[in-house]
Amino acid sequence: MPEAAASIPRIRPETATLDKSGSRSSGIQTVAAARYVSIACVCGYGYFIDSNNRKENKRTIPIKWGMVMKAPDKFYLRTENQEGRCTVYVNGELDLESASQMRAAMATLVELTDRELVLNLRELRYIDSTGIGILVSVLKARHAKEAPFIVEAIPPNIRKLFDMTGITPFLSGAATS
Amino acid sequence: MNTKDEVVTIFVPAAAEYVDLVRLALYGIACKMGFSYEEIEDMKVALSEACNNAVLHAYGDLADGAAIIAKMPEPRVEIRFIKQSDALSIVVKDDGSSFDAAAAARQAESMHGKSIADIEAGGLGLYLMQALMDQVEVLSGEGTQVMMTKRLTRSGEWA
Repeated sequence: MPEAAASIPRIRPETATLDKSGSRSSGIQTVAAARYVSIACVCGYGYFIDSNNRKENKRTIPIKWGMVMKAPDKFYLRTENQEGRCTVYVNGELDLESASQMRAAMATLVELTDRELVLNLRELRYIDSTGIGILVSVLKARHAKEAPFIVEAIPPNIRKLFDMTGITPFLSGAATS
Repeated sequence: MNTKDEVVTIFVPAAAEYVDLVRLALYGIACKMGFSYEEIEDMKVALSEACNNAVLHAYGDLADGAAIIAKMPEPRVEIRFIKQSDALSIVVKDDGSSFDAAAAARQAESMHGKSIADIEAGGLGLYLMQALMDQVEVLSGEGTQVMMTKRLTRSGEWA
């Protein structure tokens, strides 16, 4: 989340500068790499670059010839099992495309009635009614099983959507409410 | 809206994996227009809701935009960004089977004041669209068009 309300992260791929240290670069190679950077920025990679370099106000990434620019995973889950608690870290964008992955994971985890089920949304960057719908299903399923369900570390923009849709009061974690 | 408005049009296949691409296009256009971070985040959700609807319902009910057998060769969704001087309008258009706009509007509701047993996710998409945008119009007939508008608020110097 950008802290300064006035500054919007602006990705300007056409002005991305290239650090040529360590790479054999000719004019042609540099131009080709610049296009690669533009494409990578459009694919969303630019977000990561911008947030990392925001403090130095840089837009530079080191480009080495032959480097494979892989777009980071759009959505992934990481599960941590502890005594009496299963924490699922939800990362990236939860939209219509990633919904099936989320549903499949939740279908299994919802059955763990012997422990708390916790969703940690700290690295969740996007959610819409599809994802909220999945949360509603999990809520109802856990409630029916009288098993605890907690949602923690909700980012402000996600929290705003939860408040708007009215799901927030249900996320406080009580097994029965 | 007048003929001097600049229009950017995108056609994407009616599939879930293209909605994030549409969000990226929105980000690019809205940034240049000077919308705030929060306004852009709002618009992204509203636009995605409209696109999700097109993907799921336009061409026969789909589950998560899975591969479909469609009447037309390439089922697709048209997204038109209309840049006005003081607002951005976005039209999401599909040529698929129309849905009853009136019925959908009646079902647009939130979960406020309900019990766990009563809450459901249906209707949230349209509810969010209306809550996040300044204006939403749904036109159905041949296919469906959803037009949503966000006005540019020029904030002055903070006191």
